[in-house]
Amino acid sequence: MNASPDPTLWAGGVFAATTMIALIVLQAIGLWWHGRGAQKGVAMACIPPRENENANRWATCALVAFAGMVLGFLLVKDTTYLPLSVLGILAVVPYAYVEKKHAERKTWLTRTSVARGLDEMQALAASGSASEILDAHPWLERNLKRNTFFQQFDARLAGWVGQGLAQRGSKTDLEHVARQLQSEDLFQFLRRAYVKTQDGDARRVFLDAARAVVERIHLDAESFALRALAQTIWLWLGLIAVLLAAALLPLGGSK
Amino acid sequence: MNTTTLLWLSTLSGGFASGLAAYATLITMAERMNWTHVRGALWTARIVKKVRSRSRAWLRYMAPILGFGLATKAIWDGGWILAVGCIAVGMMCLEPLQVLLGARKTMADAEVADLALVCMASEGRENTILQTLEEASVTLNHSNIRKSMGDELERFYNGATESETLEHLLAGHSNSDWALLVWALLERKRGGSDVELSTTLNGLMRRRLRLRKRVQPTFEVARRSLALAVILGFAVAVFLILTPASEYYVGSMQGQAVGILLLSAWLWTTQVWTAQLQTMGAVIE
Repeated sequence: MNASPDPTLWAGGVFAATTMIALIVLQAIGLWWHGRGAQKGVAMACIPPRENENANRWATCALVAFAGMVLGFLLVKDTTYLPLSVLGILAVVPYAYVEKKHAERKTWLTRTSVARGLDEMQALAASGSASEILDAHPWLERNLKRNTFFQQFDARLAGWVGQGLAQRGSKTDLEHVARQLQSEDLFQFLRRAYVKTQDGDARRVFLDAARAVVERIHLDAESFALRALAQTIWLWLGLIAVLLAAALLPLGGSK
Repeated sequence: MNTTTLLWLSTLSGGFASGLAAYATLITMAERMNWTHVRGALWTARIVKKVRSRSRAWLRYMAPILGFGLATKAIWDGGWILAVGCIAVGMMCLEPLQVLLGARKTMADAEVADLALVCMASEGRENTILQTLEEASVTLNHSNIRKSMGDELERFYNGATESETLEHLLAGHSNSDWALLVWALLERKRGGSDVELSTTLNGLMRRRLRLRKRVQPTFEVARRSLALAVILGFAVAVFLILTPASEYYVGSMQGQAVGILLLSAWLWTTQVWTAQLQTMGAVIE
């Protein structure tokens, strides 16, 4: 390694190192946090979550980000191109975008799970001998009921009912569970399904509500797909620009 | 803090962080690896069915070998930072590769809603469920559906009961349309309320089919983008390490920094497409 490199060279090295450190540390923190969240999700499926859970998470992330920025600043404070090196820490921005995409994926997993569950509810309601068939073919019941979101919903509701915090069939408690599981669709379904009608046909109201919510999810999915297509095109353009810029660098760069 | 110390500190910390990430991923990979399957896959790839399992075997076992080969070349030329960066970025590509390979399976089941519409339209109460499914798959004439049905019928003719065959069919497909279809056929076989069930199921399947057809182009674009990005990533790594331009990238700190930034930008794009592909896969299923 060169003992006395040009300042631009070591500024570039520090910039790259800071970027890599920020990316890898944040990736590690993200993985650790999601893994911890998943374990907690399984363990606490039957236990009501603490009210300050989200607040704690934000505080932890903010603390880690602050500590990372201070450490990065200490690392680069003596460099000639300080602002350029500090830019390396802004690697947090693309990381946050990827995290947003992961959050979108989770949201859509929940939404499609709700749509499937409501579809199955409609189909089973049209059946005359659904329970007999499901009793005769337990493997079919397993496949129809592998809807993890509704299993989580049921587990949490059962936990609350067991503790005397909720009652089965209570609209308010069901809505509260839907809110806790962060499913706006299910919340909408419950609000629509419990509307009082003139003729008192609760079955029809439930099925209409299910159909309406599923339609809404499908329409949102279509618009999301169009937006994703546009994003893909922009990403390709950006990637090609970055590759071209890097490929042309050797022509003007110095060793 | 003088220049040399700072340079050493940044290089060592960057290398240490990348090395730690690579080590953690390797350990996780080793823990998750099904070694019996690996041995079986290698054996199958070499001896028994070379053509059928060639792509998977190549991707799973040759890609890391090639990657480590490139990294060794970079280290040999003095490009330590670039080498550890390449290894770390390569390790983070494992998930995108898995998602990419799983996407083909998602596409294979995309036409089940159409199959269900054909089944519900057919008048075949006296037929067995497998016969109904087989006739509908012939009518639909979709290669993946016909292959699935062919495999299941082969299982049935080899002695499995109809119930066992249907159970095996559902176990092999994550698409919930299969379960709804089989359940509706069982219901019809029992002589349940035919009209309401047919109307409801037709409505559900039409809605699902419409959604799938509208989302499918985006899914396809995301899948192909990810596949192209993986190939492009390999090409970029080769460009950085093996081509004449590598003299610039490997020979200077600045070049190595630019190289790692380039790989990071590529990795970021790949991660975004992976999340998009997973989302679209969830919608299609």
